[in-house]
Amino acid sequence: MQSEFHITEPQHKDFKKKVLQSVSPFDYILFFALLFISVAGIFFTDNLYSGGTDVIISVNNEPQYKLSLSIDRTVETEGVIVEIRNNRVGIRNADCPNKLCMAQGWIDRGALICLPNRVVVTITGSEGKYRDVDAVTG
Amino acid sequence: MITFPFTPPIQFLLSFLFASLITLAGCKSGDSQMHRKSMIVMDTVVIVTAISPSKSEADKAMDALFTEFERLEGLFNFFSDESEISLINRLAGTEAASVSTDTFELVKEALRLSKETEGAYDPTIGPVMTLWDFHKEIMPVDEEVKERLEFVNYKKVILNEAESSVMLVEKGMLLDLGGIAKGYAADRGVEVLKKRGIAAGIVAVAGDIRTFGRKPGNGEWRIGIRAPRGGPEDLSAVITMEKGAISTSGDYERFFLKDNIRYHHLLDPATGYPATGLRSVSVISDKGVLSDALSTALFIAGGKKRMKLIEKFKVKTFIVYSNGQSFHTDNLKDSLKMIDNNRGRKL
Repeated sequence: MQSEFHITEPQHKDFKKKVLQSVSPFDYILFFALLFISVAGIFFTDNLYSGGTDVIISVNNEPQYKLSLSIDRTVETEGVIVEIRNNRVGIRNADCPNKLCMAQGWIDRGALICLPNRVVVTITGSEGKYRDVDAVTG
Repeated sequence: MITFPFTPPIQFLLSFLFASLITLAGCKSGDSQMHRKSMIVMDTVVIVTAISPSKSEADKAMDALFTEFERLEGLFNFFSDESEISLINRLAGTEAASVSTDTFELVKEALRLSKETEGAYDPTIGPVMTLWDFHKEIMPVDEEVKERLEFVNYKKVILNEAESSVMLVEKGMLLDLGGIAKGYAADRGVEVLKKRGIAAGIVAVAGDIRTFGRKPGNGEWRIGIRAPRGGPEDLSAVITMEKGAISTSGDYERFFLKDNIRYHHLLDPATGYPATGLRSVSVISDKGVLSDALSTALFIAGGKKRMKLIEKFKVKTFIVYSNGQSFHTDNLKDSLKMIDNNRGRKL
């Protein structure tokens, strides 16, 4: 069924031609800029959502501590001092020779690794597979 | 029919752009309405999520909840000499303790559920529980367990409604509301939030969770059930739910391994030793107080009795057996999604 808005084929072709001719290079630039912003926005928002709430400190691949990212505290394990402050986590001190873990700075997602001491600090929700759950029971 | 003046590739890009912007707008509004706070109270971490267009209103409601939780901790804490539970325990075998309405009602509910579960859940497990130290890996000798079991009996608790008093009949009895208080607190937390105008949210008292209302975007809440032998971030299943309560009892919460045997905190009131056969039980019901006590009861009850209790209470249940196999009740099939977790570790 055709509606009253239907544009017949010859008219349609002319119209398309006219529109395409009237588009300036700036229109294209604007269009692609908007497209880029919107796509980048999706990833940006995704990163915001993936900010986890728990800090897992593992030693030798075995979780030792599960702490809330929103509660400030300091934990020492295997010569590594892990500090949670202002919803971020960092390694304040480590007794390893190169102290690369300290150089990783403060993070609010992802992980900090101190290889010599085999200490891994992970913020769940960012690295975990199930970041879309609202709470965990058990 | 309306036709567009753009070529198909341009039409596709425009559609994508439009859809992206809509998605972004939706996410942004949902994110801005969701407020979260956590606090260590009642010997555990409580995480509260409140949905509200106003951050200050959400903060006020969540602060009121934490104040209420601190009050409840003062009443129910088994380890604090100042609590009403300690008063009841100190007066065991001598006289009845006058308690607040909160304590009286919770003890009453605990005893009701003890009766309904035929003692699979029993809040008088205290005398045996204190023999075990799961942190220091201390297990009692058989004689001690047998002696203390005589003081484990929910039928030996006398309630006096008119005087709001509780009495333990025999000296040596100990009342411990640890298996029900967190669920009760989750229920109370929801009441506090609703009273403060919060339309939706989650109150998670460790693994005892109450949800209410709907998530921004009109969605249901998604609750993960931890995999018993995985890391803290590994899940066995995900459950979608609107309003309700979910609690899990697992043999991985407080335990130690000795001679390749797992000794955990879910003690059978009939034997004084950890119940066997399961790794975890999750119960979904309307009330936190029911889910909390029933998850313990179902963990402890044996096979036939367990199924009888599930039918009796008509609760949604998810079980992981000792061999790693899982079971869920039929009423859960539409809201349960199993997770294939290859990273799970055996004992």
